[in-house]
Amino acid sequence: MTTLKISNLHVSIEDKEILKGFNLTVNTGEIHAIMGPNGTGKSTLAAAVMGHPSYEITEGEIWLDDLNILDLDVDERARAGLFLAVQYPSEIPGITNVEFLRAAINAQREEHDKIGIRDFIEKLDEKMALLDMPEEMAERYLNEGFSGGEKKRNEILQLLMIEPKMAILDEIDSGLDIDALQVVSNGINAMRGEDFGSIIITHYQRLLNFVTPDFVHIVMDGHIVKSGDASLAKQLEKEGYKGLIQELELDIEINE
Amino acid sequence: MRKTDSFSPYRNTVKHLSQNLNEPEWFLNYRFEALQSTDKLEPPKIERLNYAAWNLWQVPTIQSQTVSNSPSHSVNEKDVLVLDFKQAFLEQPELFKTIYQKTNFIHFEHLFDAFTMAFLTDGLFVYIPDNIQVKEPLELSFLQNNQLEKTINRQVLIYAGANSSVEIMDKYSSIENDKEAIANIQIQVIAEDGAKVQYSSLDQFGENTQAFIQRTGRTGRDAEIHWALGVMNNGDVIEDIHVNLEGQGSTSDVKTVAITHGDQVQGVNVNVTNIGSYSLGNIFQHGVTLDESTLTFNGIGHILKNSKNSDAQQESRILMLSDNARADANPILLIDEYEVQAGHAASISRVNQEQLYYLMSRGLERKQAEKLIIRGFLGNVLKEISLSEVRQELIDTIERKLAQYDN
Repeated sequence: MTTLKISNLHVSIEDKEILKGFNLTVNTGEIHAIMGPNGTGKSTLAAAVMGHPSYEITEGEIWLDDLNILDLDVDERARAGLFLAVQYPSEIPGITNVEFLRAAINAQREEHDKIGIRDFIEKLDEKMALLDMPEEMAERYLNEGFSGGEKKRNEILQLLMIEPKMAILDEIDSGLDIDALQVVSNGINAMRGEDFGSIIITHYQRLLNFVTPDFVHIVMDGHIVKSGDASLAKQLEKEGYKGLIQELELDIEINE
Repeated sequence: MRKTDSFSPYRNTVKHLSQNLNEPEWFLNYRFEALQSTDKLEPPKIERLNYAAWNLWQVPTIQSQTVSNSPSHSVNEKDVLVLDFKQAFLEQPELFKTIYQKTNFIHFEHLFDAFTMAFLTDGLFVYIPDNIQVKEPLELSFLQNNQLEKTINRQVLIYAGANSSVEIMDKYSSIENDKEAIANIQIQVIAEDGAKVQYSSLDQFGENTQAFIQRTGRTGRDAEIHWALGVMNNGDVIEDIHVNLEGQGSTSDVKTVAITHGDQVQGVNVNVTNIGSYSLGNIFQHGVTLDESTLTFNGIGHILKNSKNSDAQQESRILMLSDNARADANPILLIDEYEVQAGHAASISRVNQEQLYYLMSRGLERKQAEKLIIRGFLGNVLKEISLSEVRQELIDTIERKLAQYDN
């Protein structure tokens, strides 16, 4: 079992503190949903764990088992088993999806253990079929000219190909129609298992109809204000964040 | 930018060089005319690139035996000729003379043209008759042995007759690269009415070679010349391209990829002039600068008066990978006619940090991620190159160049 442990995390961007003492522990085999209104630090959490250079960690720790994540560069974190699927991935013209995927898989492997072209193609075909992606998308340039939905499928394709231990999916559901949402959910569910843990960040409950989380956490004002099981998401859907603020007697203003 | 000494005392050298190629008198006379002009002419001015300190104008030594750079490619096509000048004088004297007199080689505008003509060491003639479609690409490769040939002055004349088509794969490189050498090369492509020429070249002179490589093209009515150039030299090199779109409805595009590294200087100076109406010119160049090197891209699109409904486009972009490198992307559009379309884009940038972060977040090491971004950047031009052999060879060369970048 692998454990991601985030303790008392404080993160600032351009001198503005966004995360204010965030705590969360995720084990492989678990799926955690993080919900919260816009601007409460959900995406900041994702970027800080992955190591985006614009985010400054002012306090706290992140450990992946006995590895101090904050000591590692972005690529080292990825090779340690972390993965982040983002809402707006970069477009990189001139590099095909397929060569990028192969390079990414091989980056995780030792020199003597690189994936063979045959195994790679087989795996790629299987995963693309699962995500209902047309074959030609493999030969297209990485995210270049992809629609919003195609980009998100492509993020999930990378997840399925790289098979990380711990993935953060940052609003992977936003802007997807119901069919696309189902396809993306199939991809996430295919990863589910003892060797995989995930933090699913979402603004809406609807993704959680397809991917049932083991835990749900509500984030407001830079930290978790309430945790529960899957029913918490349903309750939230009914009562909204405003209801939750009243229930918890919080002094927070939100823009939903 | 004037060279110091006069070349007029070298009349005997000129004669000897001429004898080496068994030249007829008419050709020798052009050499003498050129020699006379050398004292009056200046080297061509290349915007934003000062090469006054280069040693390009070194009179070649006369060898008892000329080094053979005879075409190795056998041509199966009927009536297609690939001959060095020596063979051409012998086997096709009338045809060669007629066509040679159509070229720019006999007009001396700058010291470069005059010097190369006067002290010509080597020449190649490619002739595609009217209406012939050459199926297989013609490979012309030139290898300079820096030990044996301190200076080469070479002319290549590619003539595509009316409604013919041909793909030319050219290549320039050198051996014995610890020795200093000079190369002055003039390549002219004449595409007659309706002819279609795809000319590609991979230029890889060694680190101690200084070279001036000039390529000129001329299009007849509805003719096309497509250029794909890999500027991958290791030394100081100017690549100077001039295309005159003379014929109505004619087209030319000049696609260039360049990498500079070490302390070398490379300049790519592309001029496309729209003369005929409905003519279409496109300059598309992407380059990468490493280490302390310098790369200059000039794109000069010129639409002449009466070139109605013509189109001149250009894009020059340079990716800088080192704080100590120098890059210059210089777009110039000169338009003397109203009813035209024209556009240009130029940029000098560094590796996009968001792209880098994204690739690294999938486990790629920084260098590997940077290399992918560089390849992608150059790939924008590569994907436009229609010959897959040329594209692959360029990709391999880029990989080799970037492999040095690991250290």
